[in-house]
Amino acid sequence: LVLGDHTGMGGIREPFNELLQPVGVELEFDSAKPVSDTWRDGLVLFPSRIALGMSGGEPIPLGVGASLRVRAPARVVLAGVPAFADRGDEEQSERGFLGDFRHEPGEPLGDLALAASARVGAGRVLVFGDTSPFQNGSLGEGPLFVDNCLRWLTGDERVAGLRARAARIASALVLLAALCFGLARARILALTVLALLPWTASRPWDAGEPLDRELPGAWSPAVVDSGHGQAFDGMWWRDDSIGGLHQNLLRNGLWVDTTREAARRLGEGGLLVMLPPTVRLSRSELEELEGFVRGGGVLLATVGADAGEAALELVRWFGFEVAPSPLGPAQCDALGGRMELVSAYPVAGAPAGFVSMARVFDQDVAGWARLGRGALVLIADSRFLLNPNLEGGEAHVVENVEFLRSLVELLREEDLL
Amino acid sequence: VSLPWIAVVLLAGWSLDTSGALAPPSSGAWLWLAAGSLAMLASRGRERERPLDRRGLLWLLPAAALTPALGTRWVLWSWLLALAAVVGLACARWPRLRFLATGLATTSLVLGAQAAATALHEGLGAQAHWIPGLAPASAACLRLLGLQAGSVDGVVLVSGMEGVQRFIPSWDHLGLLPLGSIAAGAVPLLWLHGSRLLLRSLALVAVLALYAAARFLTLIVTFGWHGDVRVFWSTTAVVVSFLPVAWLLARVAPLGALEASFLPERELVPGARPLARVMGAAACASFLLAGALGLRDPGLPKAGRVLFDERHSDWEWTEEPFDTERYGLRTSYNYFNLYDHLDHYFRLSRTHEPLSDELLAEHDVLVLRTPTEPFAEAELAALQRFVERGGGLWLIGDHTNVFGSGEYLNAVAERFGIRFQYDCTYDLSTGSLNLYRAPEVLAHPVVSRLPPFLFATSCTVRADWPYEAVMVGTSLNVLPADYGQPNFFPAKGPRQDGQIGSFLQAAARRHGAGRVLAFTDSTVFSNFFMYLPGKPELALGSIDWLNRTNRLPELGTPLALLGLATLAWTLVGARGLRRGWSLPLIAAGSGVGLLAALALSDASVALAHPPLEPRRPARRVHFDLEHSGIFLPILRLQGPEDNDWATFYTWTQRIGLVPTAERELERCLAGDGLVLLADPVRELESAELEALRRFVAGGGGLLVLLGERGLPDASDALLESFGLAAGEPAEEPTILPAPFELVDVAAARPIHGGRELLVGSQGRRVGAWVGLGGGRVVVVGCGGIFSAAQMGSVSVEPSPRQREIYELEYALLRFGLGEDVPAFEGTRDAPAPALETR
Repeated sequence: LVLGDHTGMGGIREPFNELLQPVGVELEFDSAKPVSDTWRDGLVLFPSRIALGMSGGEPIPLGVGASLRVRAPARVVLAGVPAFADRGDEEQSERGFLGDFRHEPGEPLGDLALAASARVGAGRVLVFGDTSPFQNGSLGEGPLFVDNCLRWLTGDERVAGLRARAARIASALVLLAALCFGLARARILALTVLALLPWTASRPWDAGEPLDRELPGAWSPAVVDSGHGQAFDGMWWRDDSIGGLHQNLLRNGLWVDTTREAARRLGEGGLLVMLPPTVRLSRSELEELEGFVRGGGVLLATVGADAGEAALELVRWFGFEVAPSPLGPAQCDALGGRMELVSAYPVAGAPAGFVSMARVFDQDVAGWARLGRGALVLIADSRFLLNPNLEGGEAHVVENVEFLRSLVELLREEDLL
Repeated sequence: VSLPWIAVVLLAGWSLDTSGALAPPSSGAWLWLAAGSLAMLASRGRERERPLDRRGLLWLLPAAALTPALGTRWVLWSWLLALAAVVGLACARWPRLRFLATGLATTSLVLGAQAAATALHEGLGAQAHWIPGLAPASAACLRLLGLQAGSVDGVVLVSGMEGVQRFIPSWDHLGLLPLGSIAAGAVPLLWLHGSRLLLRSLALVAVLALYAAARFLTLIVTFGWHGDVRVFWSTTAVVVSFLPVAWLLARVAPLGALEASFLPERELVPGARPLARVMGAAACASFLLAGALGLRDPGLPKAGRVLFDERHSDWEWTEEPFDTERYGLRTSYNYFNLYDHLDHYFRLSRTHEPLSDELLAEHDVLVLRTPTEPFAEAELAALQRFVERGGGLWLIGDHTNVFGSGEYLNAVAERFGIRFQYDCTYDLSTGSLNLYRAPEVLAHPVVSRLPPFLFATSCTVRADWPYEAVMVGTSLNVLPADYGQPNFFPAKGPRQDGQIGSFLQAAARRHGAGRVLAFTDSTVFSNFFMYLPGKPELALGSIDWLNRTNRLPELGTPLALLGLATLAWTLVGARGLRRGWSLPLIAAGSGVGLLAALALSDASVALAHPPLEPRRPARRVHFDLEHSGIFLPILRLQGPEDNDWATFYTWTQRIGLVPTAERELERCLAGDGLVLLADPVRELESAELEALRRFVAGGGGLLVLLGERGLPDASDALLESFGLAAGEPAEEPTILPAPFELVDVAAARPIHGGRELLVGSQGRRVGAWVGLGGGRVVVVGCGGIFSAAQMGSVSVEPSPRQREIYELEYALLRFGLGEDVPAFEGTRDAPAPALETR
């Protein structure tokens, strides 16, 4: 795994290029930049094992890196489309040789290679022109992509490859048969093509199970559910997003992953963070959640009365009730420190054993209760865990950062994590 | 076969655009009209050529001639109808023009039907937004497409790389207004083409409903992927998205052989009796239906004893004086001037006591504004009895349930079938404050004299039927309160993802013998807005309407029911006629009836609500905006480039003056007091100069403030006519004399001629005055210091320098009005230097 960077920062370019010369990959003296503001719509991940399960637009947290020159035997894995290669400036050593970030005549514009792979004998090489996807802050944002990269580098792709190839051959044979048979029967042909569409659209190389992880001893698993219409931004560091939550969970020794498939991860125990769902959880999902908690998991829910019925149903399932009287933004004591709430609501009902953590206007706004071997933590403020109230790209609320740390410590002291 | 239907859709674009209900009116409306008319003309090519009846054509002309009084969208209908009649008459000589005549007539009838549908939507659509279950259904559709979507309390949320997109699906997103226009426009086409009218009408309605659902799904997917909520309301997007329905309509409701022309044909002339019956019935029906919206009991005027409740509100105080000593927020969000202004016309008093039967019995109108305390149950009961007995109740709320005011007001309002919503309103296309324009016809008495009115972020209000839609704001974006933000405004400022369309911003209901008026924006009567155009008119109109006891029961519902019955009778009667005659006759009769109803309604309002006469006069200062280059927030809020004089304007109120902003100098000169020209950008004509001299000679004052934002030559003729002149701006700053010596002025212009008033550093003479007859002309060459950039905002806690600028403003205004001002005593009689010209 070779992680380069833009221009030739730190003198990495020459040794890397010397190293990569046999596999046909070279770091350019430039910075690859998307034509639009971000890489959001400007990345193409070519079909391969590295693209496993990423057809739904899962994020690839790319920053500013070098573009790659790729020739056989290497192949492009990830490309910027459309993008341009902003030429480096040799006189700007203090700025890491960065250019002006504007497209100038002569600078390549169009499709740029950003990552490439190659096989050398029995081994494999994966090259990135940018370190960003592997940085701490990005791990929560694009864990699947990192997982896939490591899995490809360390694993065996023969089975998946064969499966994909077989699927394609089968599709082609069926289509061919339908063509021969249906040329005179347009309806049969059309129906066959329609029937095959979902199969071809499902992209057989997406099939496969995610990587099973074994966390080092000091780490606890944490999952942020995004499968129930939770309203947060996929761009991680915007006001509507949860980059700060990830950062803080990592800081506190929780290996966090945001996923639509949270249910599949419940078996791991640990912490499940539920920002307010906007899609109702089915009865079986609620029962599954309850089983998770009773089995030793911790459910952290941030639900104010403004969160909507789906979210309120979730906390009601566990015996909580949030009253619809807005308490507004508020500061209060919590877990030995302070806490800043954005839009707090009173906790009007709670299960037995409820322990209050914070009170505003003499009303509970946050607390926790044991349930079976696990626990449920409720913060009656739907926006408490979003970046502006916790930690953003450029600012943070120290009280809430400390509160989250204290909360994790408390859960550990109670043997819940 | 699709052409007539395409024409109907395109013409619906005209109706939609001119109504301004969704997107604001634009010049693009004419494109929709031209394209729709051409499509209609092109579809009229294959008609039988039977001669038209001259007498029948002439019937159309009176209706067409009268209808210009009805408002813009009806004017076009009448003109086209008149044109069709004229071309029809010409067909006797040039038969080939027949397609033109029938094409114009068809277009006119379609436009007329669509105008009626739009008017109906304006009347009722302001409360027709919410569709239960639409938000979860929309979110479910988006999830099927793989998007991360959900719904919370009617809001659809789509999360993704574009951020969290929101919108609130409603009838307006489904396209209720264009759907109604298309359906209405289809009526005349179906009527005249072929048989099986009922069956084809049902098919048409079914197709429109299904198409609307499919279109909505397509739009939410487009929105989900691109996050641009304009797909729901931009006129172009709406019309283009409805165009395919023309193809469907042509198939499910084919326009068969034309049963008759759209113009009266000679072969089919009906007898005089059925003709008169149908026209008369159509006239009655339209009279009753329009009357249902406009004919109201003017009420019996009361004694005008107005009570302000001070007990329940700690906001917009009436008792905090607006003077030259106190500044800051408590003096700006303050009703001192509203109270004072109303006191010029009515007998005002305040109370800090609990509201009781005894207290209320001594008053005719009670004003409750932005309560910050709840009302006791006994007070609520007393209020209900007060209104039932004939009292007037003015409820003034504000955006987003700020301070809990919405909740406290609703405890009162809900007893009268009114509810303030916990939301806020913005102009849909700009995201800024919304500008309300009273309707051209059928304006409610409260707003019958209202010029364009700038809201300062209102909430919306809902009212039970029957209610009176006093102010319907169009092209609004309505966002819910966010209790996590200061003053509960939505996070991230105004957005376009709220409810859209027309909403009630003021509504009234009659209750027993009394009246209740709910208004949704308390800020517009704050001192800093109070004397901007529209605000005094609305305050007086509101109290004048409330200061009346009801004499008649509610008229709207019975008139509407009677009108609908008459309309049904008209249609039944029209079946006896040949179709070629029926529609023009109904159109002509409807035009006459409509005109009669509107004329009667508006005349009754004008007669019952004459301009109020003040009990005592006010001292006024008239800001001439025709020649001045200053900005006042009359039609929009100020921007960074504007030469904002709002603070100077408002501060005139601190010394007891009433400012007025006039678009024409002539209106300034119609009254007495002081006329103010600041930073002139337009020269005065000789007639204006003469009128100004007469005004001053008659005892009026003229204050001319020259700053760097005016045009240098624009004031030359004006000053010259009073023997004054302004020199070139000084290159270095000028320090003003005591007691204004903290004020340094960049680029002050020396004033030559007249008597000395202000002499700055280096002997620079920056102020002078002349007396003429009973009045004074005061000219100051350092007017730039009076812009808001120097004076601060209207809520400013002023610096010492700003305080001295304010004192200079007060001194100049008083001096201009003929008062003796101590600050100018030393310089008044100094000898004037020789007049120099530039």
